[in-house]
Amino acid sequence: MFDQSKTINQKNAHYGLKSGKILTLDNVGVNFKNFNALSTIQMEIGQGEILFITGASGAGKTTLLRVLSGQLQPTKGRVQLLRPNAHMALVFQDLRLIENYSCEMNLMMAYDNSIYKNKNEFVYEMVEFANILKIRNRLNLKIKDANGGLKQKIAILRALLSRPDVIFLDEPTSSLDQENALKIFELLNFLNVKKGLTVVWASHDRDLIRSFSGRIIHLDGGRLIHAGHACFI
Amino acid sequence: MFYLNLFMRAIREHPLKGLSFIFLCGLFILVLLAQNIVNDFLQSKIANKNQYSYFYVLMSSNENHEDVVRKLRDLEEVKQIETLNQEVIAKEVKKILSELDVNVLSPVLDMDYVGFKIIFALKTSIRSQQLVREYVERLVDKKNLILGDIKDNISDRKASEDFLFRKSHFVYPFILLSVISLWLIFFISVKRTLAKIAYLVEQYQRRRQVLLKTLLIGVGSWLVFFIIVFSFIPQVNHLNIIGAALLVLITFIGGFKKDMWES
Repeated sequence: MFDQSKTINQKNAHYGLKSGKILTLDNVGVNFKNFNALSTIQMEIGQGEILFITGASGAGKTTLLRVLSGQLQPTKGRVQLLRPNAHMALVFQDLRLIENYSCEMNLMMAYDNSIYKNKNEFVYEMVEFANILKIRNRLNLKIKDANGGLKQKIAILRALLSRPDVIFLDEPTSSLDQENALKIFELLNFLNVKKGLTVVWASHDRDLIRSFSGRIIHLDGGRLIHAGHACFI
Repeated sequence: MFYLNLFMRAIREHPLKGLSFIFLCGLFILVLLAQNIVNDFLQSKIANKNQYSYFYVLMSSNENHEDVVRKLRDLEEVKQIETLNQEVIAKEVKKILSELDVNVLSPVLDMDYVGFKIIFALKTSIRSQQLVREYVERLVDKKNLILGDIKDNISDRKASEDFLFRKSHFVYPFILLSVISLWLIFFISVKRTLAKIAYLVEQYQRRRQVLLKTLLIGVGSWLVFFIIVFSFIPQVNHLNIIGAALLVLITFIGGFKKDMWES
């Protein structure tokens, strides 16, 4: 007899929420000429995990994010993506929005007809997310006229609307107050619980991270010096 | 269609730059296809001005001038007949009359004239030129006709002919090089805009090689469109087409760094 529950459990063991690994770093190091940006990083990221990367400016957070997301090849060591088809989205520190476009047009950059049934479905999701972040009535604004906070929210929404399996966020709330930062986290947490989104969030703001829940790694001088739970910082 | 839309989005982002680029695509194709026409035109211009002998004919409009022109056109020795406008006629009449030492107030000026410039074919002998001139005299009543002298540029030709002809061979490459340079400048500029958009599409949609595909489809469509538009041009130089295709391909492939935002 075909045991459906067993099949689902086996599947979950590999791909399921908060189970199995999606990325592993094996003794990864990155050198920029004579500068050692990262050295011997050994870590794993689980499927459906929320991971925070903290550290002072220049500690190697952005470099680690770029290595994890495949944007940068490590000088030594090995990065292994255990789900090769996984879609990874990055929210860059410089946001990378098109200034002449409206907020909505920038969000439309994430519309992929291979993952949405039609444009209406995309627009529905866009409006839903915009409502959660309370930017619904500002979507027509051009990016060049938008404030820093709105730009950051648009950059995060654009990444989320691409329905990624893993989202990497580099200082995503640097222009936002605590309340708005919390809203962002709640949205990410909701998608993490509901859709198994893996979140990797880099920030130097340890006080902010303390109010969230998730695993944390702390970098200093390109070295991983601490790993634990966010609330124990 | 997606990639064509993406290309047009880049054009819309900087409309002036984008439309200039599309215009240059058209000009690029036109100049490429019309090499033989441009060369013929340039050489005929130089030849008209500097090589062919000619003389002016003024006749009363009462004469059947159309018939005269038709008969002259049938002659092998006559390359071209240009109709003169009234100002040129007045100038020429004045000149002829002054050469003949005739009073300008002569009733001849009151006549209603039509004027022509009869241009001889190359290598027409002086004797043949004279015969053509006499032929005109026979066709038209003498009192209704004023003929200018045959202007022979043979003496001038020796000095300028070779130089101008040699020069004319450099005109087309110069035009082509200028158009290609301008096209490349605008192409790089459009490609820069497109690279940013393509990068974002690759980041947030599940697509690969977006820039190359967009360039191939976007720019390629416009180039093909202009090739079709200018397909009426005869004597197309196929070597030019091959050269242009190679150039376009190199500019497509020769890319920017993957991450345009960081550069």
